[in-house]
Amino acid sequence: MTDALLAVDRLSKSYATRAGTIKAIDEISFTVRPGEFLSIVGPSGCGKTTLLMLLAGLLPVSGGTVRVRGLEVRGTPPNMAIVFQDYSRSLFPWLTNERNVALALHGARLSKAEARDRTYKALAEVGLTGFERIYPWQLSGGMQQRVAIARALVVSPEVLLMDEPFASVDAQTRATLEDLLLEVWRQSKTTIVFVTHDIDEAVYLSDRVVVLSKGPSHVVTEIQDELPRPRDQIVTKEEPLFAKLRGEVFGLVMGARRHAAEERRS
Amino acid sequence: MVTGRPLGPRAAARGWLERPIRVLGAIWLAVVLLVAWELKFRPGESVFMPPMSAILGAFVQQWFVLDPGQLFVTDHFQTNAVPSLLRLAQGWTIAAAIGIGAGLVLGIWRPALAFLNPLIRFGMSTPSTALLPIVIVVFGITSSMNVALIAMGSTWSVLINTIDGVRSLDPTMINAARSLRLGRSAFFWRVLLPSASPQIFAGLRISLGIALILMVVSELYAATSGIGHVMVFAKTTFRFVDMWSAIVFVGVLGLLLNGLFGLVEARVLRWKLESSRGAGGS
Repeated sequence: MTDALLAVDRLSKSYATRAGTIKAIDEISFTVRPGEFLSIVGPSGCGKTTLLMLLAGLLPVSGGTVRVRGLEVRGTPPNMAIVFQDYSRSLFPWLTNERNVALALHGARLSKAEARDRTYKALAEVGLTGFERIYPWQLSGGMQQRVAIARALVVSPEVLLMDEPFASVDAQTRATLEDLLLEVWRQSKTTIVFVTHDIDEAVYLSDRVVVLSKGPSHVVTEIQDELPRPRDQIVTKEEPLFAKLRGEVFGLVMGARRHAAEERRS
Repeated sequence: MVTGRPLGPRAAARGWLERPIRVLGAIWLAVVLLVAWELKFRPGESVFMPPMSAILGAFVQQWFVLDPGQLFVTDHFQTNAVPSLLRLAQGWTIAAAIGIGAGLVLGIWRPALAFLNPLIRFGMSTPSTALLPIVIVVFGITSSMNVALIAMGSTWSVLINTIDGVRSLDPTMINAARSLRLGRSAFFWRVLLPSASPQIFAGLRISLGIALILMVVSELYAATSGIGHVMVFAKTTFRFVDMWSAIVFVGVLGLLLNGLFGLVEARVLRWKLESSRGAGGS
């Protein structure tokens, strides 16, 4: 356990509603190693986003702990960055792309020149050189999500949390962004926790896939993903191992859904 | 107020026709009504309704003069329009300051809003003109009275809209800001205030209209100078052309203020106007 960068231990989350307490997350435990690409998948409505918000310290936990390098998370720690699903609401439309990215450096007390350098470098890493001075809403959806990724990368985070980041873009753009993310990950050696409902995407990107059950969600299993790297949208997806892993995860996710349905009936 | 730009004989037909046609489309009804007025109310036809040409002539002659030393305005303008404009400016500025300031506090601090909400609803629902008698008693027939009434009446729309603007901040944006570890002041200036600004501007625009109404109304009843005072004085001395000229003045003033406000708004909220225009693409 000592080599874990991110350690989630018996994490629980309940909501108080008028109908009583609803348990969304039930004692989830897993660890993430430094430099690892971990995906979290599960049936829709299983609390994946809630889990990510807990990891980010943006929601109070009901039980258990989230630790980054041994320190309990209370509010997003400085070595963590988040990319949200909805870029149109996580980027600020009144700020140019440059200023959106630079906002992440606000607390870093850098000189103006250095902040500008890092901002331009982060935008260059996601292929947005030349788009610094315009606004996010002047870009396509995929390019807006690149701005969001640049804003996350600019602080050189040790942990990058991503909440279904490519769910609102078209298929071609998604493939491009997946490969961009893999390249950025390879170069920055950051650790990525990637929440998605897309099983192909999880298998294509990850070192390890955590499968969650339907809510109240717990970890059904973890699957090692030893597809060779660098991965390629065509070659990797034609590997027999890809099909096998995909089938395995798919079965688990569907099983989790069926299991939950049976539980409700009994 | 439309000035044609001189065009060379070889200007493209489409280019030089497009603008006049658009302008014509926008003003033809106004022109028709003015001409109809002129034809209907000939001199001597009605004491109360002078011909439009007489009204517009009096309007120009009474308020404006071709003298740079006078800043192109008449003494009549100096003694009546200037006090009115000062009252309007003071009253509206006070309303904007209180409305935005208190609105931000109440929008952020929920318990205070819950506590003050009934009072705000009451204040907003009370027609401000109903306060005129009490304001006159408290302030007397002074400019402070006019300013106070304008301020009291036009604060509410700014206040309500500011509160609403602050409270409708998108939860995802709040999370994004928190994940960036913005401090309180950075959050306020970079996220909260810009996010609320479209609604703050909407409130300011409504309050500007209310302020103009209250300026005139308060001067109709209690003032020794001002545009409203000119209207009442002209009416009681049977100089209806002068009364109409003051009415035209207020109308033009309203148009100008709205236009100026629109220019400022378009500049400050460029991101809002342009981003919503381009919304929809993925």
